Amino acid sequence: MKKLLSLIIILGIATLSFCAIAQEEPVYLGTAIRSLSNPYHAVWADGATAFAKSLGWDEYNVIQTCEGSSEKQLNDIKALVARSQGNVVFSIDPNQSTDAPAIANELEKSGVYFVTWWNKPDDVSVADYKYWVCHITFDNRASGYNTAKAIFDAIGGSGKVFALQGLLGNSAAIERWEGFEKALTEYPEIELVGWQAADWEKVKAYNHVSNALIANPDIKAVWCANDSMAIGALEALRARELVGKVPVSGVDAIPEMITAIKNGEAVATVASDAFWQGGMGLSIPLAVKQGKIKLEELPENKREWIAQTILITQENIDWYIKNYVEGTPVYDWNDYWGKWVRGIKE
Amino acid sequence: MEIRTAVFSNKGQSWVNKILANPSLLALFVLIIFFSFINPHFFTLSNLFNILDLASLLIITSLSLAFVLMMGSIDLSVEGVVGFCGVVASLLVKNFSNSNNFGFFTLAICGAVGAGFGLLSGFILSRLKIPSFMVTLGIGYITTGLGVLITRGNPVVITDWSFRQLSIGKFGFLPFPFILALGLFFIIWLMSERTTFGRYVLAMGGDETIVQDLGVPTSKIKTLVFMIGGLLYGIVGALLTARLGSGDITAPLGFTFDSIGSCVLGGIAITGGVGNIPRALIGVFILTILRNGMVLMRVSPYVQQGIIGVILIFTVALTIDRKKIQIMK
Repeated sequence: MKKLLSLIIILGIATLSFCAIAQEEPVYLGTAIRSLSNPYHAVWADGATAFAKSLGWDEYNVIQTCEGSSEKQLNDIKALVARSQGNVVFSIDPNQSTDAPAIANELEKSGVYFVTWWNKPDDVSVADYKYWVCHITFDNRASGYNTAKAIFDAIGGSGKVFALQGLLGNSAAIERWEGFEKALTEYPEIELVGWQAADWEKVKAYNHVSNALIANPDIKAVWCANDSMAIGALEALRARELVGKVPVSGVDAIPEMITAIKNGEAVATVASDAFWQGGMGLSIPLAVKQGKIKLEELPENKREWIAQTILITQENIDWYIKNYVEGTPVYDWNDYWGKWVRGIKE
Repeated sequence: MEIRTAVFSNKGQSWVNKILANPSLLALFVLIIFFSFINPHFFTLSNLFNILDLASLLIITSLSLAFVLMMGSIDLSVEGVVGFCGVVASLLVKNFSNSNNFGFFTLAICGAVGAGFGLLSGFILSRLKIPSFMVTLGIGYITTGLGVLITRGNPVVITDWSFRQLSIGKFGFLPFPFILALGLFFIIWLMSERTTFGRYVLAMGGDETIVQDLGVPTSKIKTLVFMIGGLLYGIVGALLTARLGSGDITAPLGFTFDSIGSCVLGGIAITGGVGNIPRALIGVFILTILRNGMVLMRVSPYVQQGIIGVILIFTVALTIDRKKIQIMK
């Protein structure tokens, strides 16, 4: 009798463990971003969570914020690798370009698949790494160029324009500015009467625009390298009763800017779809880990690539609000290359 | 009598020191004359009101820092507390996120919230004997964290137009926030010059052990100084929200540097014991006019930050009390 009982127990345990193996083993999903104190990264985190929920792995979803510290970011990543015993994939927005290789070396050592966004030194090639699945970024030059064109067209292609740059030396600031300058050469009637660096911040933008309006009260438009600065510029114009008469433009599509475009106070912004970034940054390395994507078969232009952005203007603002603000678009997390535009080096 | 000696012992005897005692005012006049000659837009009525408008919030935070620095402490929680109070303000007036409508009463509530954090800083500082540097840094992080927690990083957009007039409205030509800042300036100035509390603050910055030996309740005074500071940050938070139309925890980035910088530019020594409240006002105008003038002159943004840094180091070199620090680290 005892023997029969032990046999049943052993069989039971064996069956249970088979069931466990048959089911997909959960993988930790690590998202390393700057902070949750800005709308952009907050939406990013929501996207990551939505992806984890779609797999039923809520408990394995880990959002790490580095609050601007490169060292904290690396340490947090190391800690999660240790905690999960290497059973983890990462989606990382490196704090600075130079951090990307350090993070890559650490994760290569542990054999952890990961995707990076935005920041990477140009001379570091993802194809040289075995676990660095891809580096995805957005075309900042196109963002700067398209918003500049939109705002120049809004004032009829001639007049005085003031511009606000982001943090000088930041790669996004440099590239968006290059796009702006390219548009400037195509509109000879537009006169750039001055530009300032407002470091991506509202209050500095407010102050710079207030001062610029003293030197040039007849400014016709203000181009900004991001939306926070555009909102600061807008409020400075509002205090001088110029809002609506002097259009502004930005990049990022923060909620305040969407409202401003809807109200006719701003003319253009660009959305990089942070929700999609949050989910896809995890979906791609997970697909590699699960063997759905063969990394060695990926061409180089899919290891380092530029993803699609959405230019939002008066024309498509209603469509954008309906699909992205009031509702969440339905994402197919298995459509890995749906937003692929081109390789970075092409 | 002892206290008076402590306060005024830093004033120099030789004529060189007497001139150097207020180089800030001299610098302010030089700046105004310089920019007036260089740029035709500078010395105009519209630019005057523009400068008053831009300086107003910085005046209020610098009043707090002036007190704190004269006492020999430092306050690094400006950004956090201002940001948090700004978020609180945005949630209390008419907004898109909830149905509150406290109107102008919000200003008082924000002041109280700010004073609460000041009380906390002062209490921890004086009772647990932790340097003000660490305490206020911690409080700054806590308040920023709380703000992020409440808003999840999204600015809270306000719809109360009468509340927004607090920051963008004008009385005749004078911007409202400047009138408020001027009022607070006179109150704080009076407090510093005409009350024993104000005199104790300066004396404590000179040599706290002597003041303590005289039986002055230094802990209470420290707490009160930080409470007044918090109150002022709360008001600034509400005004900032009114100005930008949204409560945004990241909006006051840079306020700490600007406030400390203004006090130092005005000639308040970071080592404590030297300075008065009007110097903070002078400092704020130096910084604001410098930035205004550089934009009007179209000075390249690549060098603007550097120019301010150089001027700051020069001013510290002129004002610092080297008797108190034998070795620089």
